[in-house]
Amino acid sequence: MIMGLGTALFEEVVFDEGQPTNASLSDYGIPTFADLPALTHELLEREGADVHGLGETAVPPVPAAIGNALHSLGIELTELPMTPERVLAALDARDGDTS
Amino acid sequence: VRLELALNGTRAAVDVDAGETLVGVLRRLGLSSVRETCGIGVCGSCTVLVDGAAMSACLLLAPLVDGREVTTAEGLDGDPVVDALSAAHAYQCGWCTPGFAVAIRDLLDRNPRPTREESVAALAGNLCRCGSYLKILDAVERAAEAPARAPNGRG
Repeated sequence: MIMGLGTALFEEVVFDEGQPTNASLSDYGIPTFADLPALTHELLEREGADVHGLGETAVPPVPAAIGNALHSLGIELTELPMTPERVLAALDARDGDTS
Repeated sequence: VRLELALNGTRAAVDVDAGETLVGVLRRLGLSSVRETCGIGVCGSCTVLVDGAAMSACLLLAPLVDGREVTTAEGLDGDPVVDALSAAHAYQCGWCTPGFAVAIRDLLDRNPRPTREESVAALAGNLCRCGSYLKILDAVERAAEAPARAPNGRG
């Protein structure tokens, strides 16, 4: 889920004329301890089910969940990551602010 | 340059280039828990203890540890931190784990009963791509509660 948080909020490779401009771990931010949210999870086991891997399966729903939370506030974002700048722009769009 | 150091409690001598970083030397000596990942001191994968203090081996020129004590995760064999990381399943792929083991040892040496906030602040320099941070906090708690380890000769 924390990896999904990175996808949702932080991680984006930025290109300038075909060259990545943030190709180091100091420019490309992945979640750190400092980004740790209060987080709980529950495993739902189903008797007789196939064996499945865990791990990255928890990643894709995280951006969707955060996007849905924003959607419930009328903020429409379909681009990742959902950075503060993009949320602000979407807020302006919602409120019809053209300044 | 001839480098003599106490490596994981054993005296070691090795010839190094003056411009070589410690991470390369340690790996050459077979200590593969020390991992150069970002190479610029932001990820913590190459963390080692130098005279008991956590440092990034990728930023440290090897000749600077002449006469010092260097401890890698290999030197933490039997340390409650290692057992706690294992018991808490505090990893997924395991790449960052040795760096965390060393960083947690450094934290607990300085602060045997860290609060969650203190642990977060102390370990913020170690990155875990898999995001195992919550389990790693579990491990810190378990290690802090474990009985004191037997001295291993490290000052």
